[in-house]
Amino acid sequence: MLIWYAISRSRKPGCPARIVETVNNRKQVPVLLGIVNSLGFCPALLLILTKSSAEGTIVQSYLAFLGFFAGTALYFIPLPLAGKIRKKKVFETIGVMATGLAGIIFMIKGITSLTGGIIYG
Amino acid sequence: MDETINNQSMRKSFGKSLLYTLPMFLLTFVLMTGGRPDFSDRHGTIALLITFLGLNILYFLMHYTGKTDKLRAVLFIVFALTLSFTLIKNMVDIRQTMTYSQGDILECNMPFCHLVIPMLILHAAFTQSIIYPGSILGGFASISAMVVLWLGASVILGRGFCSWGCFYGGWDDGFSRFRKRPVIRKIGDSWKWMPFAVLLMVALTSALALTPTYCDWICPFKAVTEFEEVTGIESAAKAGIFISLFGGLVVVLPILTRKRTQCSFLCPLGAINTLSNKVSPFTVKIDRQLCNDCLKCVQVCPVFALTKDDVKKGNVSIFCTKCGKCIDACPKQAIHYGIAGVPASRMVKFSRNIFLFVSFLFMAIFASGSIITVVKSFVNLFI
Repeated sequence: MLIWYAISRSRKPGCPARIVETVNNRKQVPVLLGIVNSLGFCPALLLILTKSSAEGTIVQSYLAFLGFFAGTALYFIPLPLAGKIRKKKVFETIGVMATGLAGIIFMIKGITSLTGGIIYG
Repeated sequence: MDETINNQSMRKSFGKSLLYTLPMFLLTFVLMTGGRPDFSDRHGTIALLITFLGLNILYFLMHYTGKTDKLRAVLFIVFALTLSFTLIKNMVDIRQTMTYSQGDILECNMPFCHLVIPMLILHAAFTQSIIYPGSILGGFASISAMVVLWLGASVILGRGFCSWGCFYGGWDDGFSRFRKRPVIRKIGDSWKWMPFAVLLMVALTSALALTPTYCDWICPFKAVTEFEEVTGIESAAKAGIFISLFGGLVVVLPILTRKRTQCSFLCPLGAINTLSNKVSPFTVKIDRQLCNDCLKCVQVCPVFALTKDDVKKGNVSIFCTKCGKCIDACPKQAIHYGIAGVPASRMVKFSRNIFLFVSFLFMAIFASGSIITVVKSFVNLFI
Protein backbone atom coordinates (compact mmCIF):
# COMPACT_ATOMS: atom_id res chain seq x y z
CA MET A 1 0.00 0.00 0.00
CA LEU A 2 2.86 2.38 0.82
CA ILE A 3 4.48 1.74 -2.57
CA TRP A 4 1.14 2.12 -4.32
CA TYR A 5 0.54 5.43 -2.54
CA ALA A 6 4.00 6.66 -3.65
CA ILE A 7 3.62 5.76 -7.32
CA SER A 8 -0.10 6.39 -7.72
CA ARG A 9 -0.94 9.17 -10.11
CA SER A 10 -4.53 9.52 -8.85
CA ARG A 11 -3.50 10.58 -5.37
CA LYS A 12 -6.04 13.18 -4.29
CA PRO A 13 -5.35 15.92 -1.81
CA GLY A 14 -7.46 15.99 1.33
CA CYS A 15 -8.07 14.17 4.57
CA PRO A 16 -8.18 10.35 4.39
CA ALA A 17 -11.13 10.49 6.82
CA ARG A 18 -13.34 11.30 3.81
CA ILE A 19 -13.52 7.58 3.11
CA VAL A 20 -15.65 7.29 6.24
CA GLU A 21 -17.77 10.24 5.15
CA THR A 22 -19.78 8.15 2.67
CA VAL A 23 -21.26 5.99 5.41
CA ASN A 24 -21.33 8.41 8.29
CA ASN A 25 -22.21 12.00 8.92
CA ARG A 26 -19.11 14.07 8.13
CA LYS A 27 -19.19 15.99 11.43
CA GLN A 28 -18.98 12.75 13.38
CA VAL A 29 -15.94 11.35 11.62
CA PRO A 30 -13.22 12.58 14.00
CA VAL A 31 -15.23 11.23 16.92
CA LEU A 32 -15.66 7.90 15.15
CA LEU A 33 -11.97 7.70 14.37
CA GLY A 34 -11.21 8.50 18.01
CA ILE A 35 -13.47 5.65 19.16
CA VAL A 36 -11.93 3.26 16.63
CA ASN A 37 -8.47 4.36 17.74
CA SER A 38 -9.28 3.72 21.41
CA LEU A 39 -10.27 0.13 20.60
CA GLY A 40 -6.60 -0.75 20.31
CA PHE A 41 -5.55 -0.71 23.96
CA CYS A 42 -2.23 1.00 24.14
CA PRO A 43 -0.18 0.63 27.35
CA ALA A 44 -0.73 4.27 28.28
CA LEU A 45 -4.50 3.91 27.95
CA LEU A 46 -4.45 0.73 30.01
CA LEU A 47 -2.47 2.52 32.70
CA ILE A 48 -4.92 5.41 32.91
CA LEU A 49 -7.88 3.01 32.94
CA THR A 50 -6.36 1.15 35.89
CA LYS A 51 -5.47 4.40 37.61
CA SER A 52 -8.92 6.01 37.18
CA SER A 53 -10.78 2.88 38.29
CA ALA A 54 -8.65 2.76 41.41
CA GLU A 55 -9.50 6.38 42.34
CA GLY A 56 -11.67 6.99 45.42
CA THR A 57 -14.43 9.11 43.83
CA ILE A 58 -15.99 9.53 40.36
CA VAL A 59 -14.77 13.12 40.25
CA GLN A 60 -11.18 11.97 40.81
CA SER A 61 -11.58 9.34 38.07
CA TYR A 62 -12.90 11.97 35.67
CA LEU A 63 -10.08 14.32 36.58
CA ALA A 64 -7.51 11.58 35.92
CA PHE A 65 -9.05 10.94 32.48
CA LEU A 66 -9.24 14.66 31.78
CA GLY A 67 -5.54 15.01 32.54
CA PHE A 68 -4.78 12.08 30.25
CA PHE A 69 -6.78 13.57 27.36
CA ALA A 70 -5.21 16.99 27.86
CA GLY A 71 -1.79 15.35 27.75
CA THR A 72 -2.48 13.35 24.59
CA ALA A 73 -4.08 16.37 22.90
CA LEU A 74 -0.70 18.14 23.07
CA TYR A 75 0.41 16.04 20.11
CA PHE A 76 -2.33 17.60 17.97
CA ILE A 77 -1.24 21.18 18.57
CA PRO A 78 1.35 21.20 15.73
CA LEU A 79 -1.13 19.65 13.28
CA PRO A 80 -2.64 22.95 12.03
CA LEU A 81 0.94 23.94 11.09
CA ALA A 82 1.15 20.89 8.83
CA GLY A 83 -1.39 22.62 6.58
CA LYS A 84 1.06 25.49 6.20
CA ILE A 85 3.87 23.07 5.27
CA ARG A 86 1.62 21.33 2.72
CA LYS A 87 1.54 24.49 0.65
CA LYS A 88 5.19 23.87 -0.14
CA LYS A 89 5.15 21.21 -2.83
CA VAL A 90 8.63 20.02 -1.89
CA PHE A 91 7.49 18.66 1.50
CA GLU A 92 4.81 16.61 -0.19
CA THR A 93 7.40 15.29 -2.68
CA ILE A 94 9.77 14.26 0.13
CA GLY A 95 6.94 12.65 2.10
CA VAL A 96 5.71 10.65 -0.89
CA MET A 97 9.26 9.49 -1.72
CA ALA A 98 9.90 8.47 1.91
CA THR A 99 6.61 6.54 1.90
CA GLY A 100 7.66 4.64 -1.21
CA LEU A 101 11.12 3.88 0.21
CA ALA A 102 9.66 2.66 3.50
CA GLY A 103 7.29 0.44 1.51
CA ILE A 104 10.17 -1.05 -0.47
CA ILE A 105 12.21 -1.75 2.68
CA PHE A 106 9.23 -3.32 4.47
CA MET A 107 8.45 -5.41 1.41
CA ILE A 108 12.05 -6.69 1.10
CA LYS A 109 12.22 -7.41 4.84
CA GLY A 110 8.89 -9.23 4.65
CA ILE A 111 9.85 -11.30 1.61
CA THR A 112 13.28 -12.25 3.04
CA SER A 113 11.75 -13.20 6.41
CA LEU A 114 9.04 -15.28 4.71
CA THR A 115 11.50 -16.96 2.31
CA GLY A 116 13.93 -17.61 5.16
CA GLY A 117 11.11 -19.07 7.23
CA ILE A 118 9.98 -21.35 4.39
CA ILE A 119 13.51 -22.55 3.57
CA TYR A 120 14.92 -22.91 7.07
CA GLY A 121 11.63 -23.66 8.83
CA MET B 1 40.83 43.39 -1.57
CA ASP B 2 37.55 44.92 -2.66
CA GLU B 3 37.58 44.44 -6.39
CA THR B 4 35.19 44.04 -9.26
CA ILE B 5 35.70 41.32 -11.83
CA ASN B 6 35.63 42.41 -15.43
CA ASN B 7 35.73 39.23 -17.42
CA GLN B 8 39.18 38.58 -16.05
CA SER B 9 40.78 35.19 -15.61
CA MET B 10 41.66 33.65 -12.26
CA ARG B 11 45.14 32.76 -13.59
CA LYS B 12 48.20 33.93 -11.72
CA SER B 13 51.81 34.32 -12.74
CA PHE B 14 54.32 31.52 -11.93
CA GLY B 15 55.93 33.48 -9.09
CA LYS B 16 52.63 34.61 -7.59
CA SER B 17 51.28 31.05 -7.74
CA LEU B 18 54.41 29.81 -5.93
CA LEU B 19 53.90 32.47 -3.28
CA TYR B 20 50.28 31.41 -2.78
CA THR B 21 51.37 27.77 -2.52
CA LEU B 22 53.98 28.46 0.17
CA PRO B 23 51.56 28.46 3.18
CA MET B 24 50.01 25.21 1.90
CA PHE B 25 53.51 23.78 1.44
CA LEU B 26 54.45 24.51 5.05
CA LEU B 27 51.14 23.50 6.60
CA THR B 28 50.82 20.20 4.74
CA PHE B 29 54.41 19.35 5.69
CA VAL B 30 53.78 20.05 9.38
CA LEU B 31 50.43 18.25 9.44
CA MET B 32 51.56 15.25 7.37
CA THR B 33 54.62 14.68 9.52
CA GLY B 34 52.82 15.48 12.76
CA GLY B 35 55.34 18.24 13.38
CA ARG B 36 58.07 15.65 14.06
CA PRO B 37 59.56 14.53 10.74
CA ASP B 38 61.02 11.03 10.99
CA PHE B 39 62.94 9.87 7.93
CA SER B 40 64.26 6.61 9.38
CA ASP B 41 61.91 4.48 7.27
CA ARG B 42 63.24 4.89 3.69
CA HIS B 43 60.13 3.63 1.88
CA GLY B 44 57.87 5.60 4.16
CA THR B 45 59.88 8.76 3.47
CA ILE B 46 59.67 8.25 -0.30
CA ALA B 47 55.87 7.73 -0.06
CA LEU B 48 55.52 10.82 2.13
CA LEU B 49 57.55 12.97 -0.28
CA ILE B 50 55.67 11.77 -3.38
CA THR B 51 52.30 12.47 -1.70
CA PHE B 52 53.46 15.80 -0.31
CA LEU B 53 54.79 17.01 -3.66
CA GLY B 54 51.77 15.69 -5.57
CA LEU B 55 49.35 17.55 -3.32
CA ASN B 56 51.26 20.82 -3.50
CA ILE B 57 51.67 20.62 -7.27
CA LEU B 58 47.90 20.28 -7.60
CA TYR B 59 47.36 23.29 -5.37
CA PHE B 60 49.96 25.29 -7.26
CA LEU B 61 48.25 24.43 -10.55
CA MET B 62 44.90 25.63 -9.20
CA HIS B 63 46.42 29.08 -8.81
CA TYR B 64 48.57 28.97 -11.93
CA THR B 65 45.86 27.79 -14.33
CA GLY B 66 42.94 29.48 -12.59
CA LYS B 67 40.98 26.23 -12.90
CA THR B 68 39.52 24.33 -9.97
CA ASP B 69 37.32 21.37 -10.82
CA LYS B 70 39.59 19.08 -12.82
CA LEU B 71 42.49 19.48 -10.40
CA ARG B 72 40.19 18.99 -7.40
CA ALA B 73 38.75 15.88 -9.07
CA VAL B 74 42.21 14.34 -9.43
CA LEU B 75 42.78 14.42 -5.67
CA PHE B 76 39.13 13.62 -4.91
CA ILE B 77 39.16 10.47 -7.04
CA VAL B 78 42.60 9.39 -5.79
CA PHE B 79 41.30 9.92 -2.24
CA ALA B 80 38.28 7.65 -2.86
CA LEU B 81 40.35 4.92 -4.48
CA THR B 82 43.16 4.94 -1.94
CA LEU B 83 40.82 5.06 1.03
CA SER B 84 38.90 2.03 -0.22
CA PHE B 85 42.19 0.24 -0.82
CA THR B 86 43.47 1.13 2.66
CA LEU B 87 40.22 0.14 4.35
CA ILE B 88 39.99 -3.19 2.53
CA LYS B 89 43.68 -3.87 3.26
CA ASN B 90 43.07 -3.09 6.92
CA MET B 91 40.04 -5.38 7.05
CA VAL B 92 41.92 -8.18 5.35
CA ASP B 93 44.89 -7.74 7.71
CA ILE B 94 42.63 -7.89 10.78
CA ARG B 95 39.90 -10.31 9.67
CA GLN B 96 41.45 -12.01 6.61
CA THR B 97 38.28 -11.11 4.69
CA MET B 98 36.28 -8.13 3.40
CA THR B 99 33.18 -9.38 5.18
CA TYR B 100 32.19 -8.81 8.77
CA SER B 101 30.40 -11.28 11.00
CA GLN B 102 27.88 -10.96 13.83
CA GLY B 103 30.87 -11.46 16.17
CA ASP B 104 32.52 -8.28 14.83
CA ILE B 105 29.27 -6.39 15.45
CA LEU B 106 28.98 -7.71 19.02
CA GLU B 107 32.61 -6.78 19.73
CA CYS B 108 32.07 -3.27 18.30
CA ASN B 109 34.82 -3.74 15.71
CA MET B 110 33.11 -1.85 12.88
CA PRO B 111 34.98 1.13 11.42
CA PHE B 112 32.79 4.22 11.38
CA CYS B 113 32.07 6.38 8.35
CA HIS B 114 30.34 9.75 8.15
CA LEU B 115 27.31 8.35 6.28
CA VAL B 116 26.11 6.82 9.57
CA ILE B 117 25.79 10.20 11.28
CA PRO B 118 22.14 10.92 10.23
CA MET B 119 21.07 7.69 11.91
CA LEU B 120 22.73 8.54 15.21
CA ILE B 121 21.21 11.96 15.76
CA LEU B 122 17.72 11.02 17.06
CA HIS B 123 18.98 8.35 19.38
CA ALA B 124 21.90 10.36 20.67
CA ALA B 125 19.59 13.32 21.36
CA PHE B 126 16.95 11.36 23.28
CA THR B 127 18.87 8.56 24.96
CA GLN B 128 22.50 9.78 24.95
CA SER B 129 23.50 6.48 23.36
CA ILE B 130 25.11 5.59 20.03
CA ILE B 131 23.45 2.90 17.94
CA TYR B 132 26.57 1.85 16.05
CA PRO B 133 28.81 -1.12 16.83
CA GLY B 134 32.05 0.86 16.59
CA SER B 135 34.63 2.37 18.89
CA ILE B 136 33.76 5.81 20.27
CA LEU B 137 37.30 7.02 20.89
CA GLY B 138 39.99 4.56 19.89
CA GLY B 139 40.81 2.21 17.04
CA PHE B 140 40.65 2.60 13.29
CA ALA B 141 38.07 5.23 12.18
CA SER B 142 36.50 6.00 15.56
CA ILE B 143 33.05 7.56 15.89
CA SER B 144 34.15 10.72 17.73
CA ALA B 145 36.96 11.50 15.26
CA MET B 146 34.67 11.18 12.24
CA VAL B 147 31.82 13.19 13.79
CA VAL B 148 34.16 16.03 14.79
CA LEU B 149 35.81 16.07 11.33
CA TRP B 150 32.48 16.06 9.53
CA LEU B 151 30.93 18.68 11.80
CA GLY B 152 33.87 21.06 11.46
CA ALA B 153 34.07 20.64 7.71
CA SER B 154 30.32 20.98 7.20
CA VAL B 155 30.05 24.18 9.21
CA ILE B 156 32.92 25.73 7.26
CA LEU B 157 32.43 24.27 3.78
CA GLY B 158 28.68 23.58 3.86
CA ARG B 159 27.82 21.02 1.19
CA GLY B 160 31.32 21.65 -0.08
CA PHE B 161 32.11 18.66 2.15
CA CYS B 162 30.56 16.47 -0.56
CA SER B 163 33.15 17.62 -3.12
CA TRP B 164 36.14 18.31 -0.90
CA GLY B 165 35.89 15.93 2.05
CA CYS B 166 33.74 12.89 1.36
CA PHE B 167 35.86 9.83 0.66
CA TYR B 168 33.06 8.17 -1.30
CA GLY B 169 32.14 11.07 -3.58
CA GLY B 170 35.19 10.45 -5.74
CA TRP B 171 33.68 7.20 -7.00
CA ASP B 172 30.66 8.63 -8.79
CA ASP B 173 32.54 11.85 -9.56
CA GLY B 174 35.11 9.68 -11.36
CA PHE B 175 32.56 7.61 -13.26
CA SER B 176 30.62 10.75 -14.25
CA ARG B 177 33.70 11.87 -16.20
CA PHE B 178 33.98 8.74 -18.34
CA ARG B 179 31.97 10.00 -21.31
CA LYS B 180 32.32 13.35 -23.03
CA ARG B 181 28.55 13.69 -23.57
CA PRO B 182 25.65 12.35 -21.53
CA VAL B 183 23.36 9.67 -22.96
CA ILE B 184 20.50 10.49 -20.60
CA ARG B 185 19.84 14.20 -20.58
CA LYS B 186 16.41 14.67 -19.07
CA ILE B 187 16.03 13.86 -15.39
CA GLY B 188 13.06 15.11 -13.37
CA ASP B 189 13.93 18.00 -11.09
CA SER B 190 12.03 16.51 -8.14
CA TRP B 191 14.46 13.57 -7.89
CA LYS B 192 17.00 15.83 -6.21
CA TRP B 193 14.76 15.79 -3.11
CA MET B 194 15.17 12.02 -2.82
CA PRO B 195 18.10 12.24 -0.30
CA PHE B 196 15.73 14.05 2.08
CA ALA B 197 13.25 11.19 1.77
CA VAL B 198 16.06 8.70 2.40
CA LEU B 199 17.21 10.79 5.38
CA LEU B 200 13.68 10.90 6.83
CA MET B 201 13.22 7.19 6.36
CA VAL B 202 16.58 6.04 7.72
CA ALA B 203 16.50 8.43 10.69
CA LEU B 204 13.08 7.13 11.77
CA THR B 205 13.66 3.45 11.00
CA SER B 206 17.06 3.54 12.76
CA ALA B 207 15.49 5.09 15.85
CA LEU B 208 12.83 2.39 15.83
CA ALA B 209 15.02 -0.60 14.98
CA LEU B 210 18.03 0.57 17.06
CA THR B 211 20.33 -0.29 14.15
CA PRO B 212 21.76 1.96 11.43
CA THR B 213 19.35 0.83 8.71
CA TYR B 214 21.15 2.68 5.92
CA CYS B 215 24.39 0.76 6.58
CA ASP B 216 22.46 -2.41 7.13
CA TRP B 217 20.31 -2.34 4.00
CA ILE B 218 21.11 0.42 1.55
CA CYS B 219 24.69 1.79 1.52
CA PRO B 220 26.14 1.11 -1.95
CA PHE B 221 29.72 1.71 -0.77
CA LYS B 222 29.79 -1.61 1.03
CA ALA B 223 30.94 -2.83 -2.37
CA VAL B 224 34.23 -0.98 -1.90
CA THR B 225 34.68 -1.20 1.86
CA GLU B 226 33.23 -4.11 3.87
CA PHE B 227 29.95 -6.01 3.89
CA GLU B 228 27.99 -8.51 5.93
CA GLU B 229 28.95 -12.14 5.56
CA VAL B 230 26.33 -13.92 3.43
CA THR B 231 24.92 -16.58 5.70
CA GLY B 232 21.23 -16.64 4.81
CA ILE B 233 18.40 -15.17 2.75
CA GLU B 234 18.44 -11.79 4.48
CA SER B 235 22.19 -11.21 4.15
CA ALA B 236 21.97 -12.37 0.50
CA ALA B 237 19.18 -9.83 -0.11
CA LYS B 238 21.30 -7.12 1.50
CA ALA B 239 24.25 -8.04 -0.73
CA GLY B 240 21.97 -7.92 -3.78
CA ILE B 241 20.74 -4.46 -2.81
CA PHE B 242 24.15 -2.87 -2.23
CA ILE B 243 25.67 -4.40 -5.36
CA SER B 244 22.70 -3.20 -7.46
CA LEU B 245 22.84 0.28 -5.95
CA PHE B 246 26.60 0.53 -6.45
CA GLY B 247 26.34 -0.67 -10.03
CA GLY B 248 23.35 1.54 -10.80
CA LEU B 249 23.95 4.78 -8.91
CA VAL B 250 27.74 4.87 -8.64
CA VAL B 251 28.82 3.33 -11.97
CA VAL B 252 26.18 3.12 -14.70
CA LEU B 253 24.03 6.21 -14.13
CA PRO B 254 26.98 8.59 -13.60
CA ILE B 255 28.48 7.34 -16.89
CA LEU B 256 25.17 7.78 -18.73
CA THR B 257 24.18 11.12 -17.23
CA ARG B 258 27.55 12.74 -16.43
CA LYS B 259 26.02 13.52 -12.99
CA ARG B 260 26.91 12.34 -9.51
CA THR B 261 23.74 10.31 -9.16
CA GLN B 262 24.51 8.59 -5.85
CA CYS B 263 25.25 11.93 -4.21
CA SER B 264 22.23 13.56 -5.84
CA PHE B 265 19.58 10.87 -5.39
CA LEU B 266 20.52 8.70 -2.43
CA CYS B 267 23.03 9.99 0.12
CA PRO B 268 21.23 10.97 3.37
CA LEU B 269 24.28 12.84 4.64
CA GLY B 270 24.19 14.90 1.46
CA ALA B 271 20.72 16.06 2.55
CA ILE B 272 22.07 17.29 5.90
CA ASN B 273 25.05 18.88 4.19
CA THR B 274 22.63 20.67 1.86
CA LEU B 275 21.14 22.35 4.94
CA SER B 276 24.64 23.16 6.24
CA ASN B 277 25.11 25.29 3.13
CA LYS B 278 22.90 27.80 4.95
CA VAL B 279 25.51 28.34 7.68
CA SER B 280 28.68 28.06 5.61
CA PRO B 281 30.51 31.35 5.03
CA PHE B 282 31.46 30.23 1.51
CA THR B 283 29.07 30.32 -1.44
CA VAL B 284 29.08 30.31 -5.22
CA LYS B 285 27.73 33.47 -6.78
CA ILE B 286 26.45 34.46 -10.21
CA ASP B 287 27.08 37.94 -11.53
CA ARG B 288 23.99 38.76 -13.59
CA GLN B 289 25.76 41.67 -15.28
CA LEU B 290 28.28 39.32 -16.88
CA CYS B 291 25.98 36.32 -17.44
CA ASN B 292 24.80 35.82 -21.03
CA ASP B 293 22.31 33.04 -20.14
CA CYS B 294 24.15 30.39 -22.16
CA LEU B 295 23.18 27.90 -19.40
CA LYS B 296 26.40 25.95 -19.74
CA CYS B 297 26.59 25.93 -15.94
CA VAL B 298 23.19 24.19 -15.70
CA GLN B 299 24.38 21.60 -18.19
CA VAL B 300 27.64 20.80 -16.40
CA CYS B 301 26.50 20.94 -12.76
CA PRO B 302 26.94 17.37 -11.49
CA VAL B 303 24.47 17.64 -8.59
CA PHE B 304 21.46 19.47 -10.13
CA ALA B 305 22.23 22.59 -8.08
CA LEU B 306 21.50 24.96 -10.95
CA THR B 307 18.32 25.42 -12.95
CA LYS B 308 17.41 27.92 -15.64
CA ASP B 309 15.39 29.89 -13.05
CA ASP B 310 18.32 29.94 -10.61
CA VAL B 311 20.57 31.43 -13.28
CA LYS B 312 17.95 34.02 -14.23
CA LYS B 313 17.63 35.03 -10.57
CA GLY B 314 21.40 34.97 -10.09
CA ASN B 315 21.15 32.38 -7.29
CA VAL B 316 22.90 29.08 -6.79
CA SER B 317 20.67 26.63 -4.93
CA ILE B 318 21.47 25.01 -1.57
CA PHE B 319 22.36 21.78 -3.38
CA CYS B 320 25.68 23.27 -4.54
CA THR B 321 28.78 21.24 -3.56
CA LYS B 322 31.22 24.02 -4.54
CA CYS B 323 33.10 21.69 -6.87
CA GLY B 324 33.93 24.57 -9.21
CA LYS B 325 32.72 22.87 -12.40
CA CYS B 326 30.29 25.67 -13.31
CA ILE B 327 32.93 28.28 -12.49
CA ASP B 328 35.43 26.66 -14.88
CA ALA B 329 32.80 26.14 -17.58
CA CYS B 330 31.43 29.70 -17.61
CA PRO B 331 32.69 31.45 -20.78
CA LYS B 332 32.08 34.89 -19.27
CA GLN B 333 33.56 34.21 -15.80
CA ALA B 334 30.21 35.26 -14.39
CA ILE B 335 30.26 32.55 -11.70
CA HIS B 336 32.75 32.67 -8.87
CA TYR B 337 33.37 31.60 -5.29
CA GLY B 338 32.03 34.15 -2.87
CA ILE B 339 31.59 34.92 0.79
CA ALA B 340 28.14 35.01 2.37
CA GLY B 341 26.84 38.54 2.68
CA VAL B 342 29.23 39.97 0.11
CA PRO B 343 27.50 40.87 -3.18
CA ALA B 344 28.37 39.02 -6.40
CA SER B 345 31.38 40.43 -8.30
CA ARG B 346 32.94 41.74 -5.06
CA MET B 347 36.13 40.29 -3.52
CA VAL B 348 36.23 37.61 -6.23
CA LYS B 349 39.92 36.69 -6.09
CA PHE B 350 40.08 36.99 -2.31
CA SER B 351 37.06 34.67 -1.89
CA ARG B 352 38.55 32.07 -4.23
CA ASN B 353 41.95 32.18 -2.54
CA ILE B 354 40.45 31.76 0.93
CA PHE B 355 38.01 29.04 -0.12
CA LEU B 356 40.65 27.07 -2.01
CA PHE B 357 43.08 27.30 0.88
CA VAL B 358 40.58 26.03 3.47
CA SER B 359 38.94 23.34 1.35
CA PHE B 360 42.13 22.04 -0.26
CA LEU B 361 43.95 21.92 3.08
CA PHE B 362 41.10 19.88 4.55
CA MET B 363 41.05 17.42 1.67
CA ALA B 364 44.85 17.18 1.54
CA ILE B 365 45.19 16.35 5.23
CA PHE B 366 42.18 14.03 5.23
CA ALA B 367 43.42 12.20 2.13
CA SER B 368 47.14 12.12 2.77
CA GLY B 369 47.10 9.19 5.21
CA SER B 370 45.49 6.74 2.79
CA ILE B 371 47.47 8.05 -0.20
CA ILE B 372 50.78 7.57 1.67
CA THR B 373 49.74 4.00 2.59
CA VAL B 374 48.99 3.13 -1.04
CA VAL B 375 52.12 4.84 -2.41
CA LYS B 376 54.19 3.03 0.21
CA SER B 377 52.70 -0.29 -0.92
CA PHE B 378 53.78 0.51 -4.49
CA VAL B 379 57.23 1.62 -3.34
CA ASN B 380 57.58 -1.66 -1.43
CA LEU B 381 56.63 -3.53 -4.61
CA PHE B 382 59.12 -1.82 -6.88
CA ILE B 383 62.09 -0.98 -4.63
